[in-house]
Amino acid sequence: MSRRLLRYLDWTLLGTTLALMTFGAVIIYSATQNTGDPMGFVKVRLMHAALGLILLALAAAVDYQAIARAWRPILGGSLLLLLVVVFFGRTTMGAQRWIPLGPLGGFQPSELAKLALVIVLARTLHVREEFESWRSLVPALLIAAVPVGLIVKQPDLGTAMVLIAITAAMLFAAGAPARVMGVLGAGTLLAMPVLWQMLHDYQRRRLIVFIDPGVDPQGAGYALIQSKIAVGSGQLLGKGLLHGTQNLLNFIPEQHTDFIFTIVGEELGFLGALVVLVLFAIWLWRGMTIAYQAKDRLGTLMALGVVSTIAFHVFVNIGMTVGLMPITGIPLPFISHGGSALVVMLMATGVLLSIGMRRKKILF
Amino acid sequence: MRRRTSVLLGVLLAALVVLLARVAQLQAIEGRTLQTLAHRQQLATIPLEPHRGRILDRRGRPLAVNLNAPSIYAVPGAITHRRAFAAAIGPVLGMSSGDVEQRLTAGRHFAWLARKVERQTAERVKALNLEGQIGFLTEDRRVYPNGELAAHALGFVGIDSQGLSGVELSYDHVLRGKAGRAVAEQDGVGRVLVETQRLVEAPVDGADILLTIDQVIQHIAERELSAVLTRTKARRGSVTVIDPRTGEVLALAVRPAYDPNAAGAVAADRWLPRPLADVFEPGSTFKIFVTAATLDAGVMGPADRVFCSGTLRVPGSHVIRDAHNQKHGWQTMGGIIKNSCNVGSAQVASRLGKARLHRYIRRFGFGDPTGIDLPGEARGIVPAPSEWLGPALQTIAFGQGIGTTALQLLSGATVLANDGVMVRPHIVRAVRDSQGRLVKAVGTEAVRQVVQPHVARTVLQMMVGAVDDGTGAQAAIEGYTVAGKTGTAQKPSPYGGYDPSRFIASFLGIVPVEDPRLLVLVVLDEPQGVYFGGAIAAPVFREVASQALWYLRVPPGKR
Repeated sequence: MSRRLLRYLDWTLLGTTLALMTFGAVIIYSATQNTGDPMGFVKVRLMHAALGLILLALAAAVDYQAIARAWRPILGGSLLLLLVVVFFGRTTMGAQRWIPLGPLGGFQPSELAKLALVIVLARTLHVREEFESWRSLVPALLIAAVPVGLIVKQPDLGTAMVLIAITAAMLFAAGAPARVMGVLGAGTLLAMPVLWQMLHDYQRRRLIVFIDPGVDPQGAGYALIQSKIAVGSGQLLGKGLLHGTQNLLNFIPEQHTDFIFTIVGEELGFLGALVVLVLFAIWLWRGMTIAYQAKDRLGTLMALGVVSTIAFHVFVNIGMTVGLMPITGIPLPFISHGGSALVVMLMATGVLLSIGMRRKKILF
Repeated sequence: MRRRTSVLLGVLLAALVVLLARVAQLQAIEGRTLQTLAHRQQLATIPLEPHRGRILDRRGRPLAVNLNAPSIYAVPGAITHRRAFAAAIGPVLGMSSGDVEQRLTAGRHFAWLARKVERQTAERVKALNLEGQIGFLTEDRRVYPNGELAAHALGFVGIDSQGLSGVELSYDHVLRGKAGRAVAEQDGVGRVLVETQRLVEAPVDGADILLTIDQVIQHIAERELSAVLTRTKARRGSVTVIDPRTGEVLALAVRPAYDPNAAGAVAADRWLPRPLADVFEPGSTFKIFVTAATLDAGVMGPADRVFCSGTLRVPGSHVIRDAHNQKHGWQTMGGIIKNSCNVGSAQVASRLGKARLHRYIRRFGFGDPTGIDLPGEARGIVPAPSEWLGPALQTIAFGQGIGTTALQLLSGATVLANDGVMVRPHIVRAVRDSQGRLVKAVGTEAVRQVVQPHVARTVLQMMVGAVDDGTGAQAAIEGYTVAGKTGTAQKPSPYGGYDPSRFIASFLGIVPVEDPRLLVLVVLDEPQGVYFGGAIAAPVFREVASQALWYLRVPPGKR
C-alpha cells in the first residue's frame, strides 16, 4: 500500500468503528452475566473482531474497482451459499439461517448477501447514467430479487427488508426517476400479502403486536413491552454498568444480540444511548463524505450502499427496542453479539475505507 | 447524483433525529413511569401466612391442630412444552393432563398444581426433576386428631384454612391471625430469588381457643348416642350437655356425624349442628315451662287440682287424648308433670290464657336465638297469640303448635336450675394468644330473671317426681336426685296434620337437683319400634349423666 493511500485513510471512520466495537464488547459482557461465563462471550467476540479486522484491512488494500470487476464470483458465491442454507442449513427459531462451522460456531450467508448485493448493484448501476426505460432496470432488479427470494424462503423477514432497502437506496442514488421508485414501492406493498403467507406464526404475531402490544402482553408483545420498560427505566444516567435489573432478572429476551440496545439504555441511561447514537452519526457522516468525495460513480454508489446498509440496521434495530419498528432479527452493527454480522460489517467498512483512500485529489 | 446523495443524507439525518427523540421520550419523559413498572414487575410480594390458632377442649386437650403439608405450584412461564409437562406430572398428582394444562393458564409466574398433599406425593414429584418449572411451599394443614369427635362444635376449614362452619367459622377472625408480607426480586419467568427476600411485616399467629366442651363428656355422649341409634334405628339424634349454672356447653353430640378432616366427602346436611339448627315440636318437655308460667302468674298453686277424664273437648271441636288412653283422675300440677298428662296441661293453659302464656314463652327465650357463639342457629317458631287458632292454646300446653330448637329447651331449663335466672349457653371458654397469654375469658352471662326463685325450685321438685315414680323412671341414677321430663311428639305430616307413625322422643334432665351440675337433652328422631321418650331417651340420659358425674367426681348424696 502506498504512502499516498495511507494518507487518505479515514482515521475517524476507523476509530469510530473500533470505539463502537469496544463499547459492544463491554455491553456483551454485561448482557451475558447471567450465563455464568461472560468472559467467554467476550473472547469469542474478540476472535470475530480479529478475523473481521484482517478482512477489513484486506478489503481496504484492494482497489474497489477490482472488487467490482470480480462481481461474477461474488454474486455466484453468495447465491450458492444461500442455496446451501436452503438445503443444509441449521435451524434456529424455526428459520434456516445457518451453515455450521464447527468451533467457530456458524456462518449466516444472509449477512454476506448484504455486502455482495451492494457490490454487484453498484457494478450494475454505475455503467448507466439514465434509467428512463424499464429495460434498463431489469438487471438490477433481477440481481436483487434472487437473494431476496431465497432469504424470504428461510424465512428471514428482517434481512429481506435490509436487501430491499439497500436496493431502493442505490436505485434512488443511481438516478432512477421518481415514477420508477413509486411503482417499485407499490409493487413491494402489493407483495406483502404473499410475504405474509410465507411467515411463521410467531413472525406474524410480532407484526400484529407492533400495531398493538396490548394484544398479547405475555406472549408476542412481551419483548416489545419489556425492552421499552428497560430503556425507559434507565432514565438519564442509567442504573450503572452491569446493574440493569431488567437485564439481570432476565426480563429481556435475546439481550446480547438483537436487544442489546436495551442494555445500553437501561444501564447507561440516555447518556449512554446518546454516545452510541453520536458514534453512529459520526460513522455515517464519514461514510457519506466518502460517498461524496469518491472519484467515480462506482465508488459513490458502493459507498452509499454500505452507508445505507449500516444506517438501516441502526434505525431498525434501535427502533425496534424503543417501539418504533416491528421486531425482526436484525443486529445492531458492531455491537450485537454475532460473528457473521460483525465480520461482514467490518469487511464493508474496509470497502468504504478503500473507496475513501482512492478518492480524487482535492485541488485548492 | 450529488443531489440524490444529499437527499439520502437528509433522510438519514431525519431518521437519526427521530430515533434520538424517541429515546429521549422514553428515558426522560416516560422514564419514571417505566421505572415504576420495572420495579413493580421485578418485586414479588410474598404473603407470609400465620399459623391458625388451635382449638382445645376445656382442659387444653387438642381438638383442632395444624400439621405441615407440602403444596406444589408451577411456574407456567418457565414451561416450554406444556403437554409434555402435564403428561409427566399429571399421573403423580392423580390429575388428568387436561386438568394440569388448565391449571397452567392461571398466570405467568404462579399456578397451584396441588395443595396440602401427602409427603410421599411431594417426594415423587421432586424425583421428576422439574426444577425451575415447579416449586414447593410448606403450608399448614388443619387436622382434627379425634376425627368425628365434636365435629359439629368444631366445624371445619377450606383449602385456604378459612373457617367454613362451627367454631372455626364463628371465631375465624380470632383463629386466623394476621398475614405478614415479604418482598423478593423476581425474574422474567417468575422465579423468586429467595436470597433477596426481606421481611416487610411479620405475620401474627392466630389465637388458641379453649372450648367449654369436655372431650371426655363429649365422647361419652357420642358413644351413648351411637348405641341408642343402633338400638332404636332412629334416623338421627342428638345429646347436648350443658352446665346449667354457667351455660357452658359440655358436649354437643350429633349423629350421624362427619369427619371434619374430610368434610367434603359427605352430604352437606351432615354438617348441620342440629341441636341449634333443627326446629321441632318439643312435645311434653314443654309442659315444664307452661307449669312454671302458671305458678309464677299465680293462676294456680302447686296443690290446686284439675280433673283428667282421658279426653278433653277443646275449641274447634277437637278432642285431646292422653297417651295409652289413660284416665289420670284428679291431678295436682306435680301430677301433671309426673304423669305427663295432656288433658291436665290443656286445662291449666286454658286458665292461664293466650296472652300470658305467650308472654312467658317469650320470656323463656323461645322464638329468639339463644345467642350461642356458634353459627347456624335457628330462632324457632312462636306464633303470635292472634294466630293461635282453634285448640292452639291447649296444644301448645303440651308442646304442639310451637317450634323450638334443642338448645332453646336447654337454655329455658337453666331457669329451673338457677332459681329463675336464665343463663346464655356458650361454647368458648377462653382465648389465648400464641404466646399462651389469656386474651379473653368468657364468664357466665345471666339473660334475665324469668320466674320467681321459689317457682323454679317447685317445678324442679315436680320433675324429680317424674323420675322418682313417673314417666321418666328410667332416668333415675342411683345415689343422685334427678329431675327430668319426657317428651314424645308426633311429627307433622307433609300432607297436613300429624303423622301417626313418626315421632321425636326426647328427655330433658337435670342432676344433681341439690346443686345442678349437668343439664342434658336427648333427642331421638324417628325411632323404630318403641318410641316413648321415657322408654328410649331417658336411659340415654341415665348413661351419659351417670358416667359424666363419675368423671366430674360429683359426690353422690340424696338430700
